[in-house]
Amino acid sequence: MKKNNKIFIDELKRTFPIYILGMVFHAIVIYILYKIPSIIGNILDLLITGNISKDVIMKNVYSLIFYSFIMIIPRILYRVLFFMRARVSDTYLRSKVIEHLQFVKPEYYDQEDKGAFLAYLSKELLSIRRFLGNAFFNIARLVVAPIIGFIVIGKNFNIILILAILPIFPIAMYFLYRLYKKQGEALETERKVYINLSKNIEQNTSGFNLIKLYNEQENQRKKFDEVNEQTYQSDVNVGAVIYKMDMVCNILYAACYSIGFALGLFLINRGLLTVGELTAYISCITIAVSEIVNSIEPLITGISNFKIASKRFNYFFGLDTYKKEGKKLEGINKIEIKNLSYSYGKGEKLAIDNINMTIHKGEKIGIVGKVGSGKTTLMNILAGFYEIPENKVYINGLDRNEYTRESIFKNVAYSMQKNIIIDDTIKNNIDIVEKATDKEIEKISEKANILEDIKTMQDGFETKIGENGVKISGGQKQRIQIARNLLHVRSVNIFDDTLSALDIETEKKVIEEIEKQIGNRTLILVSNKISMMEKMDKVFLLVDGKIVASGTHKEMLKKNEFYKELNTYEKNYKKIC
Amino acid sequence: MPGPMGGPGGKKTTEKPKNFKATAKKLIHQYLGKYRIALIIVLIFAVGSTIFTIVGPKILGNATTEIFNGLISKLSGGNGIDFGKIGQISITLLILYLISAVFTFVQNFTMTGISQNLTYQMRNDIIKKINQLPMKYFDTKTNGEVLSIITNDIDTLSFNLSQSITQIITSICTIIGILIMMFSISWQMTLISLIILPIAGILVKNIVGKSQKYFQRQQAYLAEVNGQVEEIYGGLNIVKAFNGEEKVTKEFEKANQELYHSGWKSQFLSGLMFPVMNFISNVGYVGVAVAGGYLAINGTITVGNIQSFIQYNKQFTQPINQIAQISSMLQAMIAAAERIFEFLEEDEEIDMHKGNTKIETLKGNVTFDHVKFSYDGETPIIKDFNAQIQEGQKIAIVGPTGAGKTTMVKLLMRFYDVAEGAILIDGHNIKDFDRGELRKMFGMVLQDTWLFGGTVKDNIKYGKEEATDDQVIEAAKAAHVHHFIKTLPQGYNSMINEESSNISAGQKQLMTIARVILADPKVLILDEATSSIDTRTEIQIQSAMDNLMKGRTSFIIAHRLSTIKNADLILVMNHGDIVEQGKHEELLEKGGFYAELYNSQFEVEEQ
Repeated sequence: MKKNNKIFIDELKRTFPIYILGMVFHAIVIYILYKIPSIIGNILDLLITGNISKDVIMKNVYSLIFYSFIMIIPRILYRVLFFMRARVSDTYLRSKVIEHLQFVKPEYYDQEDKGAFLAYLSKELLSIRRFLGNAFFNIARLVVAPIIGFIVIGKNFNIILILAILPIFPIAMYFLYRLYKKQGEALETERKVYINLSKNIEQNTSGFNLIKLYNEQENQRKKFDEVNEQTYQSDVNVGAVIYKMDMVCNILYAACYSIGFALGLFLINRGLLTVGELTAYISCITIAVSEIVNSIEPLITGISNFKIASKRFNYFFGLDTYKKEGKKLEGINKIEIKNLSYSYGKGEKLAIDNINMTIHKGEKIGIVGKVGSGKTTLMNILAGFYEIPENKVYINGLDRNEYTRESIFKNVAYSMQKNIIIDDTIKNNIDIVEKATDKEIEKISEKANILEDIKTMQDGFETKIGENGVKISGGQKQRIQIARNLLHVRSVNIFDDTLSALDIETEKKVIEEIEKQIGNRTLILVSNKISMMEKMDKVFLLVDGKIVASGTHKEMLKKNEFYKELNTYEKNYKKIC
Repeated sequence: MPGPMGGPGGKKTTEKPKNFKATAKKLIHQYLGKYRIALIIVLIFAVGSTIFTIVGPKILGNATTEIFNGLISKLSGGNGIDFGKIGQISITLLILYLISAVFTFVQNFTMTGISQNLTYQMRNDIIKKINQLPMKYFDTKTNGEVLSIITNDIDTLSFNLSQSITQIITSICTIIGILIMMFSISWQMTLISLIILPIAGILVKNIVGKSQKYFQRQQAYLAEVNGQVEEIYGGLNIVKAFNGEEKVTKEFEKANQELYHSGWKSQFLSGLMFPVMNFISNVGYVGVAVAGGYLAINGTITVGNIQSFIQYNKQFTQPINQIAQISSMLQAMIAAAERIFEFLEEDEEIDMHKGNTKIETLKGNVTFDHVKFSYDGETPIIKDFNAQIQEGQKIAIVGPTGAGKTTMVKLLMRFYDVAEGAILIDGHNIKDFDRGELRKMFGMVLQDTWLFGGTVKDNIKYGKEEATDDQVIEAAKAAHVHHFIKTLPQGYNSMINEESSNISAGQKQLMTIARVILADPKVLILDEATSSIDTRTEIQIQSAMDNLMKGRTSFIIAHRLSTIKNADLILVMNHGDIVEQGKHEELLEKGGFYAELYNSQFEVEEQ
C-alpha cells in the first residue's frame, strides 16, 4: 500500500547530475577563493624580502585579476543550477500532488480537512524547495570548502596547521547532533500548530456567513487567539534551537581561529613559516571555517524540515487510489445489485441495508424515501464514487470492480444533490468539458428552463458565477446543473433531488424535457417528493436504508400505506412557487 | 477549472515600483515603530558586535608587526619575538571576540523576538479584519486566497524580516567602522577601496528595480495556486463525474507554470547580484593589494598595516556583498507585506452610528421604504420595494426563482446595504444599529445549511453558548432530528462538517432548523425551499415552526399553499420588484399576476 519515498527518490535521481554539476562549479569557485589569498601572500612576501622584480609582481597581479574575473561565471552557473533546479522540482511536485488528488478515493475527503491539506501543501512544498536549492550549496560549503582549504594549506604551508584544529570538529558535531534531534521535535509541533491555524482561518472564511449571522465574532476571536498564542510559542521554540546551533558554531570558529593563530606564531618562531604565509594561512582558515560555520545550521535546519515534509508527502502519495487497470465499460445494459450494504465507517450504522435491485436499459426508475433513508448513498455507489466489496454490484453481468473507475464515470451522468458551481462563466459551468457549440448550449439551456434567466443577465453566458462571481439563486443553480447533465446524456442518468428548488410548473416542464433528452436511455430520479413518480416505470421506496416496496406509482399507492400517506400529504400541501 | 482570472489576483496590477517605498514606510510606522526601544537595543548591540570585526584586524596587524620586528631583530642579533607582548595582544583579541559573540547573540535574540511579536500582532490584525469585512469581499474572493495571506505571506514576511534587519544594521555598522579604521591606516588606499561603492550602488538599484515585480508576482501566483487547489479539492466529484481531470490539470498547470516563471526570474535576477558584486569587490581587492605593496616599498606603511588593511578591505567588501543578498530578502519581504497591507486596508462594513436603541425594546415592525439594490452596481436586482409590516405578522414572499427573494433577506440582515431607500425597524433605520446586534434579532433557515467542523452539539448550540444539553436535545426533538443523532456513533458529540457525507442533506437542514429553534429569535426568516426534506417530515417540523412563529414577525419565502393562504400579508415579487401585495383572497380578486400564478398551479394540480 505504501508507495514509499519513490516520488522523492525518483526526483532526486533525476536531478542529481545537475546538482553534482553545480557542486563542481562551486568547487572551482572555492578553489579560486583560496588561490587569491595565497597569491596576495606571495606578493607580500616578495615585497618584504625585497624581491622587487616588477615582472614577477605584475605576473602575480595579472593572475589575481584573471582569477577574480573567471570566478563570476561558475558562480552564476552553480546558482542557476541549484536554485532553478529546485524550483523546477517544486513545480513538478505540486503538479504531482494535484494529479494524485484526483485519483484519491472520496473517503479521504471525509477524513482530511481542507484547511489542513492546504497547509500541508504550501508549507511542505516551500520547505522542500528551500532544502533542494540550498542543500547542495551548503553541502559544498560544508564539505568541499574545508577539504580544498585544508589541501591548499597542507600543500602550501604546514600539515601541522590542519591537524591541530581537526579535533575540534567531532566535539562540535556531537553537540550539533543533539540539537538536530531537538529541532526535529520543535518542527513537528510547529507543523501541528500551523495546521490548526490553517483550519481556523478556513473556518473563518468559509463559515463567514454563519459567524456573522449568529454574531459569533467574539468566540471565533477567542479560538483564534488561542491558536495565535500557540503559533507564537512554537516560533519561539524553533528559534531557540537555531540560536543554540549558532552558538556552537561560533565557539567552533573562535577555537579554530585561536589555535591556528597560536600555532602559526609558534611555527614562525621556529622559522618554519613566513609572515606572508601566516597572512595567507589566517585568510584561508577564515574562509574555510566561516564556510563551515555558515552552512551547518541552514543545512541541518533544511534536513529537519525536509524530513517532515517528505513524511507528509509519503503519507499523501501512499493513499489508496482508484486502480487504473480493468475493463473498459461501454454502455450499460443492466445493473444488478445483490445484497448490498454500506456504512460510512466503523461503528456507524448501515446507510443502506441489504439492497436488491435490478435496472434494465431504458427503464425510468424512481427512488423515494424519507430524510436519511440512504438514497444519495445508493446513487453515489451507482455512479462509481464509493468502494464496494466484490459480488455486490454487477454491470452487464460483470462485477463492477472489474471495470476501470474512469469508464464507469463515463457511462453514468450524475446530477448531484449538492449543486456544484465552479468559478467560471455560465457557459463553462454548463459545458464543463468545453466541447459543445454555442448553439447547442443555448438549446440545452432552453430545455432546462434557464435560458430566459441567462438572457436577462448583462453578460449572458459569459457571466461569471461561483465563489468569485455573481450570485444566483438556488433554483438557478439547479437548472444550470440540469443543463450541464442534459448536455452530456449518457447510458445511465441519475438526478438526485435536483428539482427541489423549482416551482411546480417549471418542475413539470423540466421533467418532460429530461425525459425527451434521455429518450430510451436509463433514467434514475431520486426525490423526496412522490408527485414526480407518476411517469416512472418503477418506483422503489427506501426506509432506513432498506427497500420496503417497489412497483409502479399506481401499484405503490395501493399496496404501501406509507407511500399512500406521503402522497396524500403532498397533495394537501401543494407548492405554488 | 477556474476560468480566466485575468492574471494573478485578478483585479490588481502587480507592478508598481513606487509601492516598495510606501510599503516599507507602512511596515516601519505601523508595526516596527512599536518596537522602538527593542530596536535601539538591537542597534546598540549590533554596533558592539561589530567591534571585533573592526578592531580585530588592527590588533592582529599589530601582532604581525611585532613578529616582523622580532624576526628582524633576531636576525640582527636582538631578543627575537617578544612573546609577552604577543600574548597580551592575543588575549585582548580573544576577549574582544567573546564580547562580540555575546553582543551578536543578544542582537539576534532581540531581533527575532521583535519579528515573532510582529507576526503575532499581524495575525491578530488580520483576523480582526476578517471579522469586519463585508460579505461582498468574500463573494469575490476564494477562501484559498485569503488563507494564503495569513499563511504564505506572513511566513515569507517573518522569515525574511528578522534576518534582513539584523544583517542590514550589522553591515552598515561594519562598513562605517571599517572605513574609519581604514582611513586611520592610509587615506590613499581607502580612496582606492571606495571606488567600487558607486558602481555597486548603481548595480543594486538596477537589479532590485527590475526584479521587484517578479517577487510581487511570485506572491500573487502563490495565492492563486492556493485558491485553485482549494477549488479542485472542493469540486473533485464533479471533475470525476465529467472526466474533467485533464482540463483541471491543464488549468492548474498554467498557474503552476506562472508561479515557476515568476519564481525563477526573481531568484535569478537577485542571484546575479552576489557574483557580480563579488567580482567588483575582488577587483578592488587587487587594486588595494598592489597599491599597498607600492606604498610599503616606499616605506609609507608598515607591513603589519598592509596585512590589516588587506583584511579590512576583505571585511569591507563582505558587508557590501551581504547587502546584495539582503536586498533579495527585502524584496520578498516587501512583496509579502504589500499583500498583507492591501488586505488590511480593504473597506469594512460601515457602522455609521452605534445607536442607543436597545434591541430588547424592539417589537418587530418592519418598514421597507423605496428600497433599491444591485449586487454589482449595474444589474438592478430590486428596483423599488415598499411594504409595511406589523409585529407578529406572517409575511409570505412569493415569486418565481431569481425574483430577488433571498436578496431581500440579505438586505434585512445588513449583509448588504441598500443602494437607495431604507429599511426601518420600529421606525429606526437599520443602518443605525450595530450590525452584530441587529443580526442577533434574526433567525434564518435558508437553502444553504451552514454547518461547521465541530460536534453536532456545537453546531446546534451555535450562537447560544449558554444553552444546556437538555435544551439542545429539546430543540433537536422539535426539529425531528434527535432520533437520527442518537444513531450516530458518538451521538451529540459526533464530529461533523459541511462536507460530511454520512449525514444526508435533509438531516443537515434539520439540524439548522434545530439551531434556530434553540436560538429563539425575535424575527424569523424561513426559506421553504427546505426541500431536501420529504413532505411528511416537513409537516412534522411545521408544527414546531408554527409554534416558533407565534407572536413573532416572520418572513417566509413561501412555497406551500397553506402558508400562503394563512399569511397576514403576501408579497408577490417578480423581476426584483413587489408587483402585488395583500392577503390571499384580495389578490385572487384582483385577478393580476398572483391570481394567474395561483390558478395555473391549481389547475395543473387538479389534473
